[in-house]
Amino acid sequence: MSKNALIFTLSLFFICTAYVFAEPLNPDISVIGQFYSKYTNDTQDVNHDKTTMNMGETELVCESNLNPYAKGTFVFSISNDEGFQTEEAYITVFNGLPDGLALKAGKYRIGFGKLNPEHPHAYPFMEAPRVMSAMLPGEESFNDTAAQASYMLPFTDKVASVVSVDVLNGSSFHPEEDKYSSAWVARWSNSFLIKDSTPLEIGFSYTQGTNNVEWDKKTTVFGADAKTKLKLSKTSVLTLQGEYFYNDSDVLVSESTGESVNSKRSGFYTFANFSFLQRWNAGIIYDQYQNLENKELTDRTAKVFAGYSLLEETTVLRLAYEKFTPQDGEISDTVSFQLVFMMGPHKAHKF
Amino acid sequence: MNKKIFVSAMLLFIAVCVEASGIKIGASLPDLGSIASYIGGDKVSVFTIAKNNSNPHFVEVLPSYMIKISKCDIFLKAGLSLDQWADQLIEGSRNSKLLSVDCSNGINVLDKPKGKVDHSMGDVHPDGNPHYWLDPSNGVIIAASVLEALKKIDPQNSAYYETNYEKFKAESEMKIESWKKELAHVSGEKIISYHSSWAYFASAFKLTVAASVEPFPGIPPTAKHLDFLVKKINAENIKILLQEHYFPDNAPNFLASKTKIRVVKAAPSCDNTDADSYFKHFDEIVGMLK
Repeated sequence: MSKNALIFTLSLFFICTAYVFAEPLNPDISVIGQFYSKYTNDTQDVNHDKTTMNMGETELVCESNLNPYAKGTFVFSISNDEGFQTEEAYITVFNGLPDGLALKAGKYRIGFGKLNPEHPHAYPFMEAPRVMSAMLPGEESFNDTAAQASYMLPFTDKVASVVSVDVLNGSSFHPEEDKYSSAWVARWSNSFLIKDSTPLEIGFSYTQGTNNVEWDKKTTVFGADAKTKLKLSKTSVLTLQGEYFYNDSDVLVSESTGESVNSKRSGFYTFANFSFLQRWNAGIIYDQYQNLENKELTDRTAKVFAGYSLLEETTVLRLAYEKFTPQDGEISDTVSFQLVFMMGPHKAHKF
Repeated sequence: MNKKIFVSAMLLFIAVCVEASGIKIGASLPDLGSIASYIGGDKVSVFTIAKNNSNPHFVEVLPSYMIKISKCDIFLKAGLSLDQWADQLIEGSRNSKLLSVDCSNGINVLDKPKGKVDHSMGDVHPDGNPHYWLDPSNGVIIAASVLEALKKIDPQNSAYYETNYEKFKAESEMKIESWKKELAHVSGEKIISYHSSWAYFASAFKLTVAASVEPFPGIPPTAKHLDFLVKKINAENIKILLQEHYFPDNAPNFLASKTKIRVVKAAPSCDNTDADSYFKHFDEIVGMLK
């Protein structure tokens, strides 16, 4: 057992023991396991043409109110690739401020668009679409140490219009450099009900940071997103969601002279997810983006997916088939299976 | 002419001001909202989050609900971990002046689990069965919670709210007697419920919930459990199966085909927040069980 795994296991043991013996004042604790099996013929994958199995990323989530005005959240993760990590650790002040204002500070998944703030186990289709990592800062997700102020505009009670601004440490823009250079994110989201029953959310996000501190090279990303849910019958719902990204980066081409080229690229994903008979879901997701190396080339991915909640939402089985079509490479096929199992309290679903 | 326009404009302005100065109440369930409308009368405006045709356990946390709650003075929660989504909505509303009221306060809670609670017991509520509004005598306890909240927020109209509460209490007592008489012919009988939501209703009208279609709360029925139910219904001559509209029909229809049980589809909540809606809901259920 690795040192990280040992620390994680001991932490889990002590937290669970504390929970059993002093329940009232301990935080809500949940653990999420993700068994994952995959077969791919993608020659870029070191395990191509083999069926692999692994535990993906296990998450330990602790959350509790700190006082009547604020709450704290910790999300720890452990995986074979990354070891033990503090994925998120932040405080949210939601009460006691002027009406409409909320504050957040710590390390968290940045609220750029709809998918990035959510953890992948909450997606209906396993992994985030490739366009996300191709267009947004960060390696696996856009996650940074930051402070956020958000304000719910008070004009009407029909539209929830929220404006937020985050000041970031900025390391997600330049993960390989230790030098500091801040970044910022702004988002404006608008959510309302059509005919009192169909929710629709439209949002716009913007971020700017430094992708190379040494030579002060900037990356700017603009995003637009929309999501709706259509109730088709008493037990079936169709979710439609899409995000568009526009990335404008100065890409360093010479470490010695600081020479760079400007790259303007765009991409999007869109998915339809049909939930039916309370425990089933099936859908399709498509994404495409201009290649980072050569923006004349467009990489495309289409994926069909299905899921089944075994008895309760605490155990979910997922199956997906993906066809990845890079314009300058070989088309590859991937079949994935995932078993997500969760223990502890789980919260109501956010839209 | 100018005078008429001026007077009309002033009346409109006053009307807008009266509307704006009324007490705004949000409620998790229409039943809580209906009782609030009764007690608050014309001094309050009420809206509800959950609808009577959808499962109150699963309400999506929509920002559109948060903005509505951000304008509220009072929010009425069902509590007992039924509407945990309400806490997320309240938190998201960023309304520091909001008075949040847990309407389960003072309720004699049924089906409180003993010992350790986990998901081997299904989607069980650790604080007990939360469907307490389906016992009409609990409506009076909810009304008392609403009364206290209104007196706190709007003390100058306390007497008005007190009067409405007394009226509600008297009307409840009268109607409960009447419903009991109407259901006298089924009193003491066993029923089957789809989910464990009818325990309070059964207790109020001296019915016994012999079993549920769900083997555990929130867990869909298995073939083995359905076989058990068929045998039980036939052996004990159970005549009524109470089912909410949002549950699948397959299992109740199967049971109806294999036994002589009658499937009664009833909403677990009233359909709007009108002051008389809470009572009308019981009129409907009692009418269906006659």
